[in-house]
Amino acid sequence: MNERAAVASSVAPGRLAKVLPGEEGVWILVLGDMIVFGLFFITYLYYRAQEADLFDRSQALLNRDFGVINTLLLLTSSWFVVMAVEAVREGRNRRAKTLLRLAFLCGAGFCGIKALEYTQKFREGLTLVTNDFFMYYFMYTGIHVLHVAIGLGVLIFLMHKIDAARPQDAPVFESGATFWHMVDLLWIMLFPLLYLVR
Amino acid sequence: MEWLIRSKATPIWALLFAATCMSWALGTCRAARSGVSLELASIAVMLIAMIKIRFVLIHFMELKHAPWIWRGLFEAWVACVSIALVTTYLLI
Repeated sequence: MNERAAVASSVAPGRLAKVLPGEEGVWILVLGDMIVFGLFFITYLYYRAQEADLFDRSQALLNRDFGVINTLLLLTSSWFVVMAVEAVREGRNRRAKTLLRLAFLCGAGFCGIKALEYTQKFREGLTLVTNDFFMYYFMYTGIHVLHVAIGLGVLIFLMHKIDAARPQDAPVFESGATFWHMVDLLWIMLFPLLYLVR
Repeated sequence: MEWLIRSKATPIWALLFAATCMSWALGTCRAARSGVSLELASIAVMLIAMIKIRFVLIHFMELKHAPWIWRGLFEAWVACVSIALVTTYLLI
């Protein structure tokens, strides 16, 4: 456990010294991932402009309801994770475990809907090689869902750790939460770009 | 369940939930029928998404309590990516 983070977790939020929650290394990983996805977003818009009609016609084949439900699922799972970290800091491990389970269920729901969406697309004959739109759609959402899967692994790890956790162990949970929130925020931009922007 | 209402994250989650529904409405045919141009609706959904991302960074990820350098790096990401997205959408 990093000493600075331990101090942050043990002091009331109102009087916090300016300290980064969790481990610095996780934040470097998150920033790196966000820079890569930032480039993905700009690349998508650039190539969309080259074939706007094709992208709009292809986008109309996506199910926006799946996209919006998945956004709400990840937002809700992030909310549960924030409250789980608050519960760990207060020593309320049972509550934290329940919240982590709920967050996991939302994340698993996201993967379930994504699987359903991919299956429908494959049945309609739409794949990575159909056209440029579907190449970006499958590539970006595929890389993102891989992040969701890693995030679910992190949540399982945290659920395993929670029984013996003390408030001083909060940085471990803060680090896991930081990664999970990143998974959420990347989807927050992927959803409008792929499903809504015309 | 009082703690659920008391949590500082709850109003932020409600706001993010509402913003998602607003983007959905803007991005679907409802916007077209209400006379909002597609370009304006598209820029609006991208900017709403970026505001939501900033809320997640500042409130859920607690960057509001982080050293200025860390907060600055992520605020810079939000600003740079927002400008690049709108510019790419409008100019290319």
